[in-house]
Amino acid sequence: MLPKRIEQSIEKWFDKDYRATFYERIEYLVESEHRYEKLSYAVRYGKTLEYTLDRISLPIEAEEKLIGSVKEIIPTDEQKEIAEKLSKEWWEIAPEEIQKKILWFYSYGWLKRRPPWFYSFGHLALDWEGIIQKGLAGYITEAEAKAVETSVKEDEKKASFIEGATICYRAISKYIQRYAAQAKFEAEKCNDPGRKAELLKIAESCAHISEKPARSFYEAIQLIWLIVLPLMKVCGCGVFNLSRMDQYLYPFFKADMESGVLTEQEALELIEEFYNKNNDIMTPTDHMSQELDATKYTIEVAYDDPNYLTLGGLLKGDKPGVNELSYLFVEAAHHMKLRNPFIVVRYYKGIDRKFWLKVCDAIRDNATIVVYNDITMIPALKAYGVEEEDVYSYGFYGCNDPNLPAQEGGLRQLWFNLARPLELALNQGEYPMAPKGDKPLSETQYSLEDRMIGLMTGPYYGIKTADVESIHGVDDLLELYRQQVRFLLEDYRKAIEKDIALEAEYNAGRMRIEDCFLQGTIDNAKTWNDGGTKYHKITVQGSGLASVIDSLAAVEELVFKNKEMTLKELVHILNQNFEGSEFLQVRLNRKMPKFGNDIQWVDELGKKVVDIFCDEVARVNSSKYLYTFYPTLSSDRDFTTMGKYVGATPDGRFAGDKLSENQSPTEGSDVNGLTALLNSVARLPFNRITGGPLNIKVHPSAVKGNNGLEMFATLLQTFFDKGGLQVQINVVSKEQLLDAQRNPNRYKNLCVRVTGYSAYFIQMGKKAQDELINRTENK
Amino acid sequence: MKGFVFNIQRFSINDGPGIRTTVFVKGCNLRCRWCHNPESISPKQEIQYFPEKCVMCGKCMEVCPTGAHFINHFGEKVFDRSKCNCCGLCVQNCLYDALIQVGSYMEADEVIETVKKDIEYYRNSGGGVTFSGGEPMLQKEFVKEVFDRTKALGIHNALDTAANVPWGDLEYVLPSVDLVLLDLKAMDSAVHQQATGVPNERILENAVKLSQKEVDIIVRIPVVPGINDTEGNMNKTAEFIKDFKRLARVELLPYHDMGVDKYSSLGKSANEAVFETPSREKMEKLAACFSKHNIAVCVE
Repeated sequence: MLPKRIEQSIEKWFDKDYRATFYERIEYLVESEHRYEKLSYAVRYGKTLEYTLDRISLPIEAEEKLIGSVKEIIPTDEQKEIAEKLSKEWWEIAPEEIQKKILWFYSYGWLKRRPPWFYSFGHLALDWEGIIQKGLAGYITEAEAKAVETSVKEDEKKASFIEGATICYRAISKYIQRYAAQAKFEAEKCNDPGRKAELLKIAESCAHISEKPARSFYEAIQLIWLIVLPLMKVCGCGVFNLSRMDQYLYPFFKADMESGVLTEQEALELIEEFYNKNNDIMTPTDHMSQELDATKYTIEVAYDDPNYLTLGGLLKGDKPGVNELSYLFVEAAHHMKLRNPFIVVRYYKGIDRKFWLKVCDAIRDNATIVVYNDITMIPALKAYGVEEEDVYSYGFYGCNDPNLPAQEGGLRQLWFNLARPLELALNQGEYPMAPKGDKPLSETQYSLEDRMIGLMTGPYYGIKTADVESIHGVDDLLELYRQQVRFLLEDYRKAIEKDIALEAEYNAGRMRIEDCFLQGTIDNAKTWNDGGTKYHKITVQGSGLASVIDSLAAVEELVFKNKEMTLKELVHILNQNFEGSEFLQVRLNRKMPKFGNDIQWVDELGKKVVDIFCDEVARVNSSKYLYTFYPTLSSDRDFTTMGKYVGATPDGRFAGDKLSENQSPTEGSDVNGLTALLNSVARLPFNRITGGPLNIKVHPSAVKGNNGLEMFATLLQTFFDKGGLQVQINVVSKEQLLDAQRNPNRYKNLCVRVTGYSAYFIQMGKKAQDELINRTENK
Repeated sequence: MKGFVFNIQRFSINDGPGIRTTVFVKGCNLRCRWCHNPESISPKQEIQYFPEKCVMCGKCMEVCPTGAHFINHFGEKVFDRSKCNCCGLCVQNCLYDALIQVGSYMEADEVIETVKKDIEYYRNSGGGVTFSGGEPMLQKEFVKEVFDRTKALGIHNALDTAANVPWGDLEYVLPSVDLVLLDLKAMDSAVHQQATGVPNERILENAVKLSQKEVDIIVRIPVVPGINDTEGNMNKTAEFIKDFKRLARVELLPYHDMGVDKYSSLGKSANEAVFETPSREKMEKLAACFSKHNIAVCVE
């Protein structure tokens, strides 16, 4: 049972006005803009943070035991205009100018909310363990020691970074002290003796953790939250990988339980408060449904992505990681079923059955829990150079990217559209939607915007490969496919290396807040984008996999097996977008063998495609590059955008239609039941794939009762033992979803897994809702 | 050896223990009024027609050799079954699944290949393969061949039967059967005759003989209001089975109307097959008739 105060807080959030925003941070940003502009970048950054943290309001909600909130208002039209005007002033500049300030920015929506002298895009993990073990004073001591080293003193860039970081630590420390004072002040005013005592205890703890390490489970969580909050809300550094909370909090939990100062119930409530805090700061909308008023309105894009936390998993030496805290974290997720945080449970062979049943029970009740598999993830990460001593710590941030906590910087990604090289292979490198003709290839196919945002939009051309007339089987076609994949990846590597060189010239050393809390940055006196951390990763997210597999299967069936037409003829029909061949289009779309049905030869085509993708990614990795590419199978929700740029495909997909999503089969084409779907997917070579979701929709009748739970748990366990990578499941019927569209008020807390993040169904746009409704329903 | 199969359902969790693959064979010698698998009754191929899925593309009319598909003078697409010889050409050409052929002759090999695909799931969950129908015992050679071979693979075999066959037939397949899902509809023979078209004496005799064999038994009783949903019937059933030595449990399956739509797709009337769905309380009450004899019982 959820404590009433938390239940009420969640209720209040559902009714929150989407315009509510933390406007203070904009006010103080404006006030401080010119004050520090003559200072070095990092020092200015620190001073800007300090100016803001010294002044923002410090709300404490009634009855809460975990404090830390920001004051939200509904901005006036004038205030809203100011925010929009600032965005324009900062970022309405040529892409080449943006690039000199920032290498990679995910989307304009994200970019425009922070100024060039004060940005972060989060998507990483801080050294949470270090924070609670060393305390801010520990960080300050380290930075001060670093500042007096000769190599730092004599290097202006390094010296300024260390100075800036020190200002940041102090600013955050002061902010926590201010909160301590605020709690004390409210305690003095408080007439309820119970609450008074609580507030005094909070005040005492906050005063302590403003500098020193946490002494208890409560102080550890409180300290983490009082660092997460200002980083997200003031700095824009969110979408955290909170990483393995059940591990790094465990020593505190255990000590408190043994000394009797904490009960399990109290620990559970603190976790629930922590979850609620994460959810409460979000705008009530689905940030990926761009067409929604609420999503368009928000001037706080960064906070509408959730934080991610990891539970379970193996420890070093392959020891099982599930402990008593893991249970409590799952239980809280089951009680609350929130959008944020997004919880990843790491499965491993021999995972405690009782824990596994608890996880599956929460999943079937639509808690925001997904599962990743250590059996494949650990070797996959090692395949890209992650060392044995680090690999066990892996977690995730949004939407589907693996992350080594504190050992790497923020998100950099390329959505690699797997359908594009297929189209190029069928057309000798030509792009039929906008043919290039005899013009030579440009230096790179990736426009600057494509490199900075990561989506492959616009025309892409390939190298001239053999005419399809000359090939005699699907393996020959795969060889052409490989050549095109290689061409596009080599092109990307070349282009991104130039960008990284530019970054070194213009950007490296520009501190972001996360640089203060990573491993290696202070030690090396280098920001992460300057190489301060141990690992540097760009995720290369293979997208549209099932569209490619189904296309190859259709070619095999129609052209090479049945010999109904030549490949040349089929390509001609595709380039007419099936005009005049409507019957064939429906047949290709509905009556060909499809991925997801446990048809071995079809699935093996999938394995070959993924092997080609991984081989070619590995080919463009090298120790001479700072950044390693990590392949995933993750389109997020961008399969619609990516599909716009791909002509008709042999799977009966029209030009411009969406591609298949993530690891999943093409929408509605998996018709042989859950085991067939899972068997197909488990045939993919996940030992080299480092992330990506498999979306499954299950009808509630298939998992009801004790037997339903046992079978569901065994089903997933078997899938993972067979080498599956991930599942995220919605247990909901089509009827329920249609009813929710008609009667949204009755379903306001229906939280669904979308593609690596969760959303409340009724807050999603119609298009996203329909995508979910149309997924195959497994009974 | 070929069998006549109309569906193979994987991740089946209600036809015996664990995760199972259920092979549904076509053809039945009972005519249960409430039958929710009407496509399983006839031992011949049939064509199901779902007009709501038809997009009027006209392909079926083009290929039908007997003119069974046409558009009438109201502009409606009609499937005239009296002209249909079940050649299946229309089905092959229907891209929208408005026409579906029910029943195909499958080699035992083919069935076993499909069954084998989920062997790890059976192993981890204590599941296996189930033959259901229709009446699998009407295809005893096929059932035996599949079961002999799945048994050799270490797969748990369950046979869902109404046992309305000569005892010798059951005895013939039994060595490879681990579990019988025994359907008992009514203890009173007259009621049984009225509800299923056959009396129950042979079924009950077979039941007793089965109970003396080394095979697990789950007794399954569809609960159909107005037919067999009395405590009297359940008490009698309980008396009858209480000494079965390897009785695992009784499963009471409440009537549901999910099969009703299938009747019209086969050109049959569903009027006779519509009943009320028994209430939860009613089901619990009937279940108590078994628990008082210490018979494990579950209500689906």
